[in-house]
Amino acid sequence: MTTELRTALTAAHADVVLGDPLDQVVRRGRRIRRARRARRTVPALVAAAAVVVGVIATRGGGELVTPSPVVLVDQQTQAFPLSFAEVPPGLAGPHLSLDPSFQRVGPGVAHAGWSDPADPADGIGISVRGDEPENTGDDVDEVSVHGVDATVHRDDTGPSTSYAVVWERADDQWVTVSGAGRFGSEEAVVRLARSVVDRPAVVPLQLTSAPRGWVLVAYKDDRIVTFADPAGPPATAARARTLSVSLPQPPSDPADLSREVTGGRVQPEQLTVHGRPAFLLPGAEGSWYLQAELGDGTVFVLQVPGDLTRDQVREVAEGVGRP
Amino acid sequence: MTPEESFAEFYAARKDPCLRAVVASGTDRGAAEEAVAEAFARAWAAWPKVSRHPSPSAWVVRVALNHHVSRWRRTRREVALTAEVERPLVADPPGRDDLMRAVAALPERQRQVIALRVFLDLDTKQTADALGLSAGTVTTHLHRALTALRATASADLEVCS
Repeated sequence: MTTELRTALTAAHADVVLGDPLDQVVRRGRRIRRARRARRTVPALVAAAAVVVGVIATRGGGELVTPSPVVLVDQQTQAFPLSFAEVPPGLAGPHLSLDPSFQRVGPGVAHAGWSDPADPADGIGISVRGDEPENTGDDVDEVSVHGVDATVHRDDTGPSTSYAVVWERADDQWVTVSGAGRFGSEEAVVRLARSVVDRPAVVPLQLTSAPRGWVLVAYKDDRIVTFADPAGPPATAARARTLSVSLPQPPSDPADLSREVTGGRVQPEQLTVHGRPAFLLPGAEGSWYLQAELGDGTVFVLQVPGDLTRDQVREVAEGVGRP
Repeated sequence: MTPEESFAEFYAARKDPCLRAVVASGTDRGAAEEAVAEAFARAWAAWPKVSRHPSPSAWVVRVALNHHVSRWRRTRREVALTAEVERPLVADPPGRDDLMRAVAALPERQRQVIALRVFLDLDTKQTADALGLSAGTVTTHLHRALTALRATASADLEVCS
């Protein structure tokens, strides 16, 4: 850089000064900060209110009350809500996952990811959560996505630089679009973010029946789906009241269930699910375990709280399937 | 030093260079003032994070370059600009118009590279980070911009590096 050019350019812009007083900028900054905080606080207050209600409902003379009798109801199709208008060629997916919230009984972060089978480092993803994400890397830019302010982040901590765009797409719906490898650029992720559409991706393992009021808190591809009782602790807690269906790694034998749950001490009770033999046994700490097969012979394991009846366990198992 | 004090210090020292960088990047003066003021407000809103950025000035300029001005601020600024037109004009120093025109004639990326190098005093890597470009691309843009400016604006400008 030449000194002469620097001097000349500086002189040419000498009268270009920003007249906005500091206090005006600070006031505007405070408004932005308050607005962001409000967006974060409202869901937290709702969650806090839910916790208070839960405490009132579950305490009687200092004792935890017995859970209400379980009533099974049909469930909506479990699905990830968003996709890209057009997924870039060469990518496989989506791989779907939902992690439970650590703070309350409910969903935490849902994610859909696509990657290049030839080079898994090349990938894109969409994450959805109820509150503003943190620790997404350095803020590098502010852009507009569908008319909403969005922040671009860059993360250099991984094996390669990745970029992400974060914005509040709707009330309590914070969306993060990320890209790595050949999609690890601001241009790529902003273009992808602007192509996000409401197009649900159905989770490849489904539960059509679950207790009334229970909420979907976790899934991962075709391996596991979990519902949780809002009256219990968060699904991440050891004492959480959850209902989970999972696919054990094949091969799987009915004897595995008894061996893993009771050390082989309890013989499972035989019944029929999906027209095929299934095996039910009461497990430790008041849970039912059931091993059964889907119509195509795929083995699955169902774990539910012990206050469901034997018939309800079988009814839930009959509702396990693939779309 | 409190966060308020450090931001006040940052704002006083960097507001004009940031505005000059955005103007030199090709943004209309009025829109640039809007965008830079807004970018500084956002910087204060996220000051704990922005203050740790390798170059907070570059952060502000990036945000300003991409900022879409909200309607109420644009309206307010239009009033101010109307008033500005009535002020007496100050004669430009000799050669200023040529240089400004030469910068304005550069492709957008070259203008941005020049603006960040000159007004924010960023090195090649910082400029590359700020613009989301590779260091090699920044060097190429800088070389082409300097060549064009040397040819157009002044025979006395000499490229040293």
